[in-house]
Amino acid sequence: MNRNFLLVIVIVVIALIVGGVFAALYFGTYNNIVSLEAGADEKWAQVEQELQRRYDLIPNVVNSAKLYIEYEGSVLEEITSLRSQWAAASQTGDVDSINNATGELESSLSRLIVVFENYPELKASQIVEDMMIELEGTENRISTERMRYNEAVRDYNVAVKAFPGNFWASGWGFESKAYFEAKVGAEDPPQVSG
Amino acid sequence: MRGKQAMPRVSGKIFSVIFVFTLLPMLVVPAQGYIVAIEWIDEIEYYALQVDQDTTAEIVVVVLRSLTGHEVTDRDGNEISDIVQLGVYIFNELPLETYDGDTVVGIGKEGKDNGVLILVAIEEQQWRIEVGYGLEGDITDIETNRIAQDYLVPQLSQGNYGEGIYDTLVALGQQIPVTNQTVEVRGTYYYEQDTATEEVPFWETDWFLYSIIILLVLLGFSVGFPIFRRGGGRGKGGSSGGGGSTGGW
Repeated sequence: MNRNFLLVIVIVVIALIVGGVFAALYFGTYNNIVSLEAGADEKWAQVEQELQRRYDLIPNVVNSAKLYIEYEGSVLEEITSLRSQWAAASQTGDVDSINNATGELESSLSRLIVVFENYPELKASQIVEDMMIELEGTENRISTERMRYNEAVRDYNVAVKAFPGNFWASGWGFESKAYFEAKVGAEDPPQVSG
Repeated sequence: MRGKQAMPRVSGKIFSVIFVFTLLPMLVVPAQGYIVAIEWIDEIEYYALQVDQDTTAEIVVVVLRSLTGHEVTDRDGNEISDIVQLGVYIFNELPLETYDGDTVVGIGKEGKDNGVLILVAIEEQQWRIEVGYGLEGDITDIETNRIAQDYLVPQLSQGNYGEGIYDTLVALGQQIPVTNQTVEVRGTYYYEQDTATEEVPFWETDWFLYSIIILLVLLGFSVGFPIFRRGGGRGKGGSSGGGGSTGGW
């Protein structure tokens, strides 16, 4: 009788410990994924803000460059039309199409910067130089925020896909997030050497 | 990466022992020179301290011999050789030692994000001015470029690194509005690439320090060890997101 009672106590204690560990793991994992997701979402908002900044800046860049670039007018037209395409993609909110539109826009903006560097008379213009500095700063901000977003997504995806998150994440409604990649031709943020 | 105060601070007794131990090697090995003349480093530190006291903003100068070989690595362990990415990393993530031996991550005050980084790479002849989120309104990208073109580039191309950096620092400092708030100042603003890390002289190695400490303990000395206060410390500072401008000379 006494021995059985002791056995029951031991089993109950073990069950409590196991249950406690399980509960801690379960809720800990949930909280971890929630906070990682919130971090990634917050960083995505930063990316969007900088993309918007670029969107707003492009007309100024194009207009100031128009006064000086005669032979390369097609680049400016291309940038203008890609800007509209980007806006359309941005409306859909689909990461893949935003990725594509962003990549194309970025590669033509970096072509503009190459043009800028090849025209000494362009560099002589304070307005155009300022615009290019502003454009460069915007591109740097985008690549910085993009890097931070991708790092946050990586942490989040690892939490969702790795043990123990992989058991529960889909049940909780968490899915792995897409990276925001720079497309071919836009790997390097354009740079202006003063 | 170390500040001007490269040697750890030690209290009186331990210092005299180290002094004796290091006297001989110091006579044999020539002292490591700074890229920027020590007089200019003092000027830079002094002005940056004034800015910190008057505005709470921190303007930090980092001078590298080269964009390669500095051993500042990204999350994946690759050395960062792009000056823009390096600037962002140094600004936000690299622990920098301050005058009291503490390390602080993030230039500027936490929450205010009011830091500025002037980064110069001598060999590649590149500069970058990185502005924290909180100062992007006071110092626009265009202004950083104009300041750099007016004060930094002409002097750097003459080889007057100290003067160019100092003038740039002053021009940037004048952009930041004065506040009557008082917060703890950073205290160390100038950093140079530590070229001695590749071959650490034996008197700076840990085992040498430890053996002296053990020796002193055995001899019954009671001394404080401020060197153990490093790490943790004041923790997190401000952050930036790629604002500012870049160029060459």
